[in-house]
Amino acid sequence: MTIFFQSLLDGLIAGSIYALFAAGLTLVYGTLHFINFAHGELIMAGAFLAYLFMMPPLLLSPLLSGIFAVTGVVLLALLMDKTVFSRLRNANPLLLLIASLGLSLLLQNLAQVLWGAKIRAFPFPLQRGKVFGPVVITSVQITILWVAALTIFLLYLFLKFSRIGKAVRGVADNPVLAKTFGVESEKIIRIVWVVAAILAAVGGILVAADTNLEPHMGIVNLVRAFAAVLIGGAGNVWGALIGGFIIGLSENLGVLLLPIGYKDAIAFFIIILILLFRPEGLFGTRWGVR
Amino acid sequence: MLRIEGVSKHFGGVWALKDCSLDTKQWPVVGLIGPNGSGKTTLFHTITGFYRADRGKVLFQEKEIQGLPVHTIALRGIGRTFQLSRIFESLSLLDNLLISRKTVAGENILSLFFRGGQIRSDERTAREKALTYLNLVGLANKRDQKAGELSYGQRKLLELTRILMLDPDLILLDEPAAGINPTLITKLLSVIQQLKAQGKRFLIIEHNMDVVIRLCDWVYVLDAGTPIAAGPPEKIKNDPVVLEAYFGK
Amino acid sequence: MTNYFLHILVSGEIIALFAMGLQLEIGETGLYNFGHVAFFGIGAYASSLLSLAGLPFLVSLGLALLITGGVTWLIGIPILRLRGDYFGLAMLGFGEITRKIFLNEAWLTKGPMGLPGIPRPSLFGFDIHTLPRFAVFYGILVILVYLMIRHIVRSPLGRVFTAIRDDELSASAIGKNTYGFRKVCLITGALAAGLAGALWAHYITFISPSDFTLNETILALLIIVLGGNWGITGALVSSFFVIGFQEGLRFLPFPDTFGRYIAPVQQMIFGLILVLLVLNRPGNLIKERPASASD
Repeated sequence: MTIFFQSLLDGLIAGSIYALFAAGLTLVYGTLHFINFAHGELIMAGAFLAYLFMMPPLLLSPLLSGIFAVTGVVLLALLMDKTVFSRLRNANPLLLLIASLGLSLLLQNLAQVLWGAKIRAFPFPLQRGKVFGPVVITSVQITILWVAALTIFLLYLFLKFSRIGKAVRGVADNPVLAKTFGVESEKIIRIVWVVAAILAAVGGILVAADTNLEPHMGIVNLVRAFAAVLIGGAGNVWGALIGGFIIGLSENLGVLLLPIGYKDAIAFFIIILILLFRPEGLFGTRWGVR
Repeated sequence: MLRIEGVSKHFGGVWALKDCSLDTKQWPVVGLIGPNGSGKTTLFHTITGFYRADRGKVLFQEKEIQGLPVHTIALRGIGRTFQLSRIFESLSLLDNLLISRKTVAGENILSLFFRGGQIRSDERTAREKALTYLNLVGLANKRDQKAGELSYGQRKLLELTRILMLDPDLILLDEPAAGINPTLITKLLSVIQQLKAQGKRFLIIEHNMDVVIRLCDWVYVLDAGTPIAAGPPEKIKNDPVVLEAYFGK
Repeated sequence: MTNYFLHILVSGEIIALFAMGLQLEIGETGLYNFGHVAFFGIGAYASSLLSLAGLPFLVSLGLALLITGGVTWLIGIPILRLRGDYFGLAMLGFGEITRKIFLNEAWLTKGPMGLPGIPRPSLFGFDIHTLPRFAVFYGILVILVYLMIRHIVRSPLGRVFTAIRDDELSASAIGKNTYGFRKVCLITGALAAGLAGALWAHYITFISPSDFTLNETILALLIIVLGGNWGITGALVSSFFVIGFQEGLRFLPFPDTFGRYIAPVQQMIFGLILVLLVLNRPGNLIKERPASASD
């Protein structure tokens, strides 16, 4: 039973991170209608930039490193849009997907050139977990949970109350609406990239703090994020957030039933099942089967 | 030939078709008119199997065809065109027609490697038929061009001849005259008249009343997914119910 | 030196088979299979395991193709219901799950350790064990497969494939069972990939799950995008360019300290080329999406 509760907690922690990945990815998917494979590299870049600032010679505090890393990832996302995606605005989504595959390959190998293929960890002192009833939680994990919660809360405020935020969500959720925004659509697309990059970078830093980081960490996290997006229904931000938690929980509870080696495949199973049986997502959306 | 009985279809709470019934009976050319969004194209999609009705029956030659796959319905003898004509742009005109046959010997992967001769003669026979149709619509001189190079009106003609290759008993045309020039309309009308004389049956969605009057033997008027009037075209043209549906009160 | 070129030639031949299969799927029919590597892996593992169990090369190879085709037939039942990027993604998932199976079912595949000592090919007592023999034997197979796929593409069947790529709805409206045709296409492409995988295993004599990642699919994707408008011939020719470049980099006299940079730099270049090719719109590789049924 203890292991069940521990897995539940681990699942929630992982889920809170995946929710961030998924919310950003669904905004991009909803607005630009293609699966951005390079979203995983935004996650990876967040983790590696934070690592860069935390390690010698800079040795900045985790908070400051995080802020610089997020800024860097936002710039990277805007650069990708400017140089590649903006030139393919009206192209077939598959063309954009292939371009993003190319970018993904480029960026993960750039990271490998810069940092090597070795698995790294943030320089946090080794921690003893605090015991709460049946579960153990470390202070890093507690920090992860509240940073994720705060980020989700800020995202909620932005999308719910700011004018531009409402427009962003409207466009992502309803492609027909996108046309009515006309001239503003380029601005909305840029905002979407900024928001998606912030979410990816924060999530990337958190996932690295929770586990570790390496240049090819993007793809597995992208897959988790995409599974969550599909659960929520493409373009549905709230659905994607819930989807993130579902993926986190299924992975951590799933290994109680499956061999641990299949943990990373669980998100793929979910993707295939959702695509086959409820392509519109568990929480519905206005544009489903294609 | 085609009888629709109480067909309903909704999308997210909006009824695109509501208790729609109509029957082509013995009329060779039946028109389907109605304001935009009245459900005409939805009805075509439902007849040809792209949509499945929530309620009701679609009977073709007295047999229910609801639930059959799109390609089976096509092979049973219902051919259709699309509002924005859909041809195979990277195939030549000739190939657009050659592909459109109920059985094509060379489409079986094993025959390809073991029955070359049979395939060649099958293609040769079909080629003659295809050329006849291309001549009929005056596109024979462009037979080897890619279909993507055709003008809008020519695409519509090609799409029609592509249907003819399948020898359908019933042909559904979705706005055949929309957006094409008067010369081509005349051409199209004469082709349809010729086919009608050969015994083909048509169900035609059309906005151009002139075309409707010249072609159709009977007209159904659809509004909000339901037929609101039916009759010979001259009568329908002046029916107050119809005018109201189109222009409001 | 000669050996080195022969090695590039043999590698190019194997990748050409793999890429021609993907060209048939993506380029000719519009099936965006991002899990193509799975077929390569299944062919490789099946043929290796069977010949390690003592079956003769040709029997292992034949059974491996049968297994690859059978698996494709099965997974096609659900996955071919999907289209466009959803199909691609589901296939990507299939590819990754296949790799996880290679990795985790150690009783069969020896897991991450891989399968060493895979027998070299032997045809009725004639051993293929030297580079020139590999180059000739595999070369003959490449030519055969090339001719077969070209025959298909130019046939009435290929015409249906093109029609499905152009406008699948329209193809079904003229009576084509598009599911069936897409399945034929997927299985044919999978067989080419399975053959490539098996030949590769018998050439390298060692395989492990890390050989079957998404990167292999991206490599083939790069090859067919590079092949552009030249169809199956383009895929064949550009395979040798890409592999020549890939293997050629290793051959350049870099100092030892650069060693660890070569593989990632080469992948970076591939990524960059892919992006540049897409930006310059490779002719008919990708059709603009046709209007949906409701238009």
